[in-house]
Amino acid sequence: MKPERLLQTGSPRARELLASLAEDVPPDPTGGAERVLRALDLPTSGAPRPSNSLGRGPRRYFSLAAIVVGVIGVTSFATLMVDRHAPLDTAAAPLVQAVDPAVASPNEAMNAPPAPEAASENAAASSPSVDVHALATAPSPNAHASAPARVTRTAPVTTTNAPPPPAARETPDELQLLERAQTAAARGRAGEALALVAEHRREFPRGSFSMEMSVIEVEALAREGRIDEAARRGERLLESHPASPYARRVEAVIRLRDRKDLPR
Amino acid sequence: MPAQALQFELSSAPRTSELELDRNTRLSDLVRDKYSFVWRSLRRLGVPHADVDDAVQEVFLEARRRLDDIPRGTEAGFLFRASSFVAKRVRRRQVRRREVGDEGLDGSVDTRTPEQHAVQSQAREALQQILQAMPDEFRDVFILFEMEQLTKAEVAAALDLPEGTVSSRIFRARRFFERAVQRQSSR
Repeated sequence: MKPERLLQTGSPRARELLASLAEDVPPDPTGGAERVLRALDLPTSGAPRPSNSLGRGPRRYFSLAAIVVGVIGVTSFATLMVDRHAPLDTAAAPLVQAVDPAVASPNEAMNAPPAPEAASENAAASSPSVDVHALATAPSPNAHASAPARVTRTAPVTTTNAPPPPAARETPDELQLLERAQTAAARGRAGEALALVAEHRREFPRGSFSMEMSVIEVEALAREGRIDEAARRGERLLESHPASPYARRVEAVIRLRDRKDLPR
Repeated sequence: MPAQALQFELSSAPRTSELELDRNTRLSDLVRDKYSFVWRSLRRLGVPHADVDDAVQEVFLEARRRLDDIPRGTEAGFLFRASSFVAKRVRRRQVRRREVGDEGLDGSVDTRTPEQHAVQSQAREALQQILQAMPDEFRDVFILFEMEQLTKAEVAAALDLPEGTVSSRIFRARRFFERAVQRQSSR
């Protein structure tokens, strides 16, 4: 029995986007392969093989894509309503990839590709790559460092003179913001990551990626040396989403505080 | 003794060249069979169009280096993992280039025709944006299962994962994807 694919079972727009993958064809597969062979000092003679190495991929994709595009062409899309009260997505895997210098080299990482669960554990154990003994002295808490006012998911703050609601800014804006925060966090720019998290909280009080942003915030706070604050936020996060796949990473930050507080 | 040593040398030389020939043949076959797969994977992993050719070479250079460690029949999995690492490296270089303000000065040229650019850019860019925001673990299984249309067992073998983990990640990746699509469409 063939497994169901999103290309068949997804929403119309999802199928449309996936159909665009049919265009992922090298402009010159034969020439490209020949160039690689030359780079490897290998003989370039001989007919090139078909490009779908796995026996599927583009060929099947093209036929399916043609069908889908044809269907979409005669189908009118319903306006997709945003579910403003959708719960936080707790099932997405951690977005924050702790930059682990140990795997900066692909050689090391490919020697024994770790099982992703183990990799997550390893990353969680070492994330956010902050050793408590190497931490800078945490700055004195001040008004600016205190937690910003949290906008509840059900009661956005509005006044009679409030600017237009955040509905004007939707994804891809939210996605772009998330990506920028991820990049900043991965590059160790914790301050920038926190600013982006704050912006997200303002602009997308009921955003789809609030969970991901919260995890970025916890790790960025830890990276800035604000361990206690990071741990508190992490604990709140875990209380409300105990089964979140981010749990291990958040717990790693909490453990930093616990280790820091251990008597020496 | 010298005669024996010489005999040993004479008998080992052909064997060495046979091994080398076998290795080269295997590598050549790999390039021809998997070139497009690697190309597609790199694109979907976020490597810009202008950088893909170089990235493909990096992947196969790594394959040559590690060929003896790749069990036969598992080449696709190795190449995908290698592509994933090369793609990350390319993206890090891009971030550094943006930081020093020389984006666009690297001589890269978009070789797509205007028609290609117009036809594929909107949906393809929207898709890529979602893929970029997707967690790496989700993206890998999503690419292999939904795009390359591998079975779950094949995805598990390629990524060295239990099948249950693959199933779970496919489910989560789909949910992430649909949610992002919904957000995009609602504007």
